[in-house]
Amino acid sequence: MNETGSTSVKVKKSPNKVKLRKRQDYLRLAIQILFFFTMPSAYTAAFNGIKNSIAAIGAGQILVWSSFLTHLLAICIFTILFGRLFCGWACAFGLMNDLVYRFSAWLQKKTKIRLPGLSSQMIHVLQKGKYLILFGVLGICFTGRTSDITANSPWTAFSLITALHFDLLESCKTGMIVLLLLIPGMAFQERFFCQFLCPMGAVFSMLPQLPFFQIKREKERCPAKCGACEKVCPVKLQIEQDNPLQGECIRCGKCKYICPRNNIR
Amino acid sequence: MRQLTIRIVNLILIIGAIFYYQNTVKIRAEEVELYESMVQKAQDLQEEYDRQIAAADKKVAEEEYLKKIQYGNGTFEGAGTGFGGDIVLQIIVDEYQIKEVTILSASGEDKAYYEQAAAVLPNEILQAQGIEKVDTVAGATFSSKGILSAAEQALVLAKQARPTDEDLLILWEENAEKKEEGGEA
Repeated sequence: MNETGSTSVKVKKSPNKVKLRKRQDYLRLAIQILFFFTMPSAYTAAFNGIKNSIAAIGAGQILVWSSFLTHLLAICIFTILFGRLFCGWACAFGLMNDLVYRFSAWLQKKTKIRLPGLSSQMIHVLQKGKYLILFGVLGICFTGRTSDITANSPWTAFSLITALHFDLLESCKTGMIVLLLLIPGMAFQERFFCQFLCPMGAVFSMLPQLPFFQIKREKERCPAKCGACEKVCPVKLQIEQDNPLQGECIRCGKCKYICPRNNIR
Repeated sequence: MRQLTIRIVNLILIIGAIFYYQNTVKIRAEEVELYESMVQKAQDLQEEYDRQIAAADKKVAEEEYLKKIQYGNGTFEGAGTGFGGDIVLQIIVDEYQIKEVTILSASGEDKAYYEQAAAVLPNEILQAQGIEKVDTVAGATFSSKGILSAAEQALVLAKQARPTDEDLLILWEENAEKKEEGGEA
């Protein structure tokens, strides 16, 4: 910026920007697929660490370190440093959400049928749902019934399917049904599970995020009544300082590439 | 900044609570271990005590048993001089007790005196399980002495046939085991 404060950055012409956006989009998809093949159960391992520790506390036992907790610690440290980059770029279940929504969006475009969307307000309310899920699940684990959760979890069904263990799906019928019920949700709302229901996401969203890799916006330079970043954002985040909802951001990067003034870093 | 501070403080509090919990549980586990080791020790001492009492009781019982046994099982004969000639006596010991005292021959005796002694003495020897407290029959002294000296000889042999204390105790235990098995069956 020059001394007068007016922007000296040219607003990029649409076609170039669109290309950039698409490139970044595919880059993120590629990295998600890479992590899907190399670390497909990181999120479930981390959550197992939490479940087992809560169960141990409920039983008054000494806490023991496990490889689950190593996963948890690694991802949490990563999240504290870089924000919920894991959610946006490395979570296998997040990838599933994204793929279902991409397919639904493509289908909507092709058939010209637009599914109704939820208002930003509604979305912000529903986002609290994952904390209820977290609380409920940990409550059940505390009373010693962890296996009830794990046996019926859609994550278990998802892991079995992606590991091609279709024969074992018999033992996870409830999980399978829950998973199937989630799919329409994923088609209607981007990152449906992640923002409304994911207990691990609930944990990550409550962690402190160091300011170095936060997404920031120079609000003064925003055109009046733009709101493009909020509209394109899967979690409808208003990018500002000290937003209590800043834990929702999954670092997908869409806001950066839609801003007409390049305000977002 | 405020969000960051709140979250960091929360995180520190949660981690602190976890460490506090861990510490508390560890201390409690140690106390439980200490208590259990002491209970175990008391049980061990009790067992040792019971064992020693049982051993002492057993020793007393054994000594009593052995005291009662003077003779070994078998048939023993002895001869003694009566009024005229030898008197041959047979003593049968079974279950370490004198079961029968029989005069086999008393050829040289005067029948009258002899019958007086023979009617009484074998029975008395049986009852007394020996000859120490058995007196001669009044008026049939020589016959009595013959019978008693024959009994003495037989009993010397019977005493020689007594098994050693060790063997007696072994047999006693075997018998007790058989009885137990018999009882259980």
